[in-house]
Amino acid sequence: MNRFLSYILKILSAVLFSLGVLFLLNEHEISKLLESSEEVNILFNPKHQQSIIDFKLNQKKREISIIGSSRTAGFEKEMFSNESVYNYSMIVNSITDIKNLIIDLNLSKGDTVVLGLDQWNFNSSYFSRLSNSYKINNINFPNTLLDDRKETSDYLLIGGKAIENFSGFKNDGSYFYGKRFIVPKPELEDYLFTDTYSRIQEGNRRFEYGSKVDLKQIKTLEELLIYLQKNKITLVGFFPPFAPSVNNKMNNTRYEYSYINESSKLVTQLFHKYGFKFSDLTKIDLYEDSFYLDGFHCNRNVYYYILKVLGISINPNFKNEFEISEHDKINLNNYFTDLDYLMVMIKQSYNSKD
Amino acid sequence: MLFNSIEFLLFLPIVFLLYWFVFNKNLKNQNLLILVSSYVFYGWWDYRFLTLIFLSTIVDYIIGLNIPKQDSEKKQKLLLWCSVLFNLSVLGFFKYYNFFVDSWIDLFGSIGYEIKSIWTLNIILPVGISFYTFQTMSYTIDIYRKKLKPTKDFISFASFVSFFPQLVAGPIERATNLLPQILKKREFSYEQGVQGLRLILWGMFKKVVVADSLAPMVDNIFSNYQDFGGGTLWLGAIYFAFQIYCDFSGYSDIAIGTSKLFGFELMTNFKFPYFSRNIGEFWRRWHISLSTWFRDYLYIPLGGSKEGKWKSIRNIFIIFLVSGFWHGANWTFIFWGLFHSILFLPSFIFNTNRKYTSSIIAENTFLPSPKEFVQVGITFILVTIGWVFFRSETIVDSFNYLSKMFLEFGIPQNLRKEILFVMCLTLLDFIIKGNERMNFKKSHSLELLGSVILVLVILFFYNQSSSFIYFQF
Repeated sequence: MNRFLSYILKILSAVLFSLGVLFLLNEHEISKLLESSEEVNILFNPKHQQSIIDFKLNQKKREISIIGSSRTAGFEKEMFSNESVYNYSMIVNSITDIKNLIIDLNLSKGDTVVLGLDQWNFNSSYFSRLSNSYKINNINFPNTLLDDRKETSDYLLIGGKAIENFSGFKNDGSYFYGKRFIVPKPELEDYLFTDTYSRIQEGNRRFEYGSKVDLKQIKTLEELLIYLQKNKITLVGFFPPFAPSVNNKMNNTRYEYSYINESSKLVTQLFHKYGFKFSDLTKIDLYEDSFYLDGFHCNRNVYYYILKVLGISINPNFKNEFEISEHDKINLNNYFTDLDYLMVMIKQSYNSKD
Repeated sequence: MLFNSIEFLLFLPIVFLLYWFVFNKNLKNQNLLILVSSYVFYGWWDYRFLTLIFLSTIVDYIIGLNIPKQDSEKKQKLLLWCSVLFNLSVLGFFKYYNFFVDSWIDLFGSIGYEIKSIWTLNIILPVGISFYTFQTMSYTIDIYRKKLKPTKDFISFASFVSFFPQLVAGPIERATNLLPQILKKREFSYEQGVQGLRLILWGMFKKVVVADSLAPMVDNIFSNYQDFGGGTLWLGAIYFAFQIYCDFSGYSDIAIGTSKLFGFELMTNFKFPYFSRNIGEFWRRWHISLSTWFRDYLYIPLGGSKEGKWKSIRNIFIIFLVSGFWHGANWTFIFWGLFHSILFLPSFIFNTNRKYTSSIIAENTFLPSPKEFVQVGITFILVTIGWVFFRSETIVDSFNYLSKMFLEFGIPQNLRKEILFVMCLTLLDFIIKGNERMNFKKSHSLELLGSVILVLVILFFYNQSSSFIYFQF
């Protein structure tokens, strides 16, 4: 028996030791990141999704939390009159994810959640609506250790994609698309929305056809609304917009997207039942296609407008420049000019060695 | 209490320490601890149904004691029937009452008589009822057959009926195997303990990592099968095949492993069933405790295969149908049983069903031979088709699902992540094939490292809310 107990003790000690080491490493990494994000501008674009979740979950709690997919990632702190804002976008996929995240955030009475609900998450033919991407790092694996870092005069870039594209999550949790703003438009993947159109024509990659609303998702959403009502948290929800021409194409009788209208009705009713406001912004007439980064991601001008529509108190002094601010554009140009210069120098020194 | 719950993580070491360090000097006290722990384990789910287990225990204890005392075979048989009828009535009421009422209503409805469903009751199905009623029945039947002497020790008998590691989802133990172990003083063995831990970890891995990862996709495909093409439906069925295997065999492994920690050896329940080369072999490897139960207590009493071909075929149909019905009060399970009887019949008629009784594929080779590969593939496909009946909500759904699977084939949607789980499990199962008790020798440090990694992987995937599929049976 003693031998067996010592065997169990060895396993337990090794497990506890491993968990302890992982915990300390992860804590150290996260606290370093959080410190950096308080001191300098950051662009955080790590290899692993779990790193983004860890980073965002460890943020100081704010009064306004923005939750949704990449389609809510453009809400910047400066757009709000209240400065206590954090954007938790891009760490959730399913409605279950959203519910779990909001519960884990442990928000206080009187806090506000701005929630973007992707239309396709209610389409019973869309497979990935059940794939949960939000997950607590149970064993505290320090994923961020594997990410490269680079410092510029203005920014700390974390992660390969941040260094390569000058893109990533800013200090307020919003996502900055970086390089794509200075790349000639015809070189972009969804230029003139060709990729989105092909999704619609083929009925795939989130644009699956469907007439049936998945009522299980409505039920999960209701559980969330009950939780928010019970905890006296204000909720403002919306369906994010598609570009006007994408909306037109989707409305073509050849394609079956009636689940969107159906789910809009059900979700609106549900929000009203629990005393919350919901706006279906699938179609916004005010902004033409050029205000969209691709077929289903709007730019910052539209994001700012959405806040107005949702009745959220906005910052009247926000400089609503087209697509990106002048300041960001200068940063981008400087970064890529320096990077090109660096690449040329490396190439030259490499050739001279030959 | 679920094996994959925090409660069990605390419960198990407490019972283990009390068992070996506090109650180890007296067998009666040790058995009393098993009984109390088992009742706590079961009562954690719903304490009201403990009365049902207790009642079943008392009835079979008294009948068991009285069968040998009877002076005639007729009286002994009468007592046996009392035990069987009591157990089947309890099972029938809680599990099948509504099914029969609804089926009668549907039958009358189909010929034009509408009957209001005032007979349908709101009955909760007690967890594990099918398992422990079969276990207690085996006790009285074996006493009647003089294979076993009744025990006067009520505590030991009650511990046998409610033994917590296998109470709610098996393996369905025979009194001839478990009861003597309960009546005998147990000694702790290091090797047995280590094997037990390995099995618990392996079972947890199958449940938490594989079965729980496949579950959401399977649920989605089966509840919305109308919206998907045949390719996706095939994947859904294959994923379910692995989900149910990992869920159920994972439970059995944890049960067997936990029992080992207390010095008990339970019977084998799964022996790598998806490496079977024909349906006969599959049934010798899948849910062994149930299939051998039906063989010993139903098939053989009906005459088995000794009373001519036609009677044997009838008997085969009966045990497969009853086996299907045992799983649940739904036509889907009956069709599942019927489907397997049809698959089994050709090999029975051509006397090939007893092939591969002791060997396993690639026994002395690195890879299976092409013939074995094809045989395993065909058997797996047939079994997977059968799972569609098992998993569908209604029999109409299962036929619709199958017709789409075969007639509307298309390239499945992106489901790569789930395929990785299936491949990983198949590979690991292939590596350890033929050694379901995991009694292989490993270097101490390698073993330690493996166990630690396994624990970390399980923790990484751990999801508190998932239950085991076989609890509903």
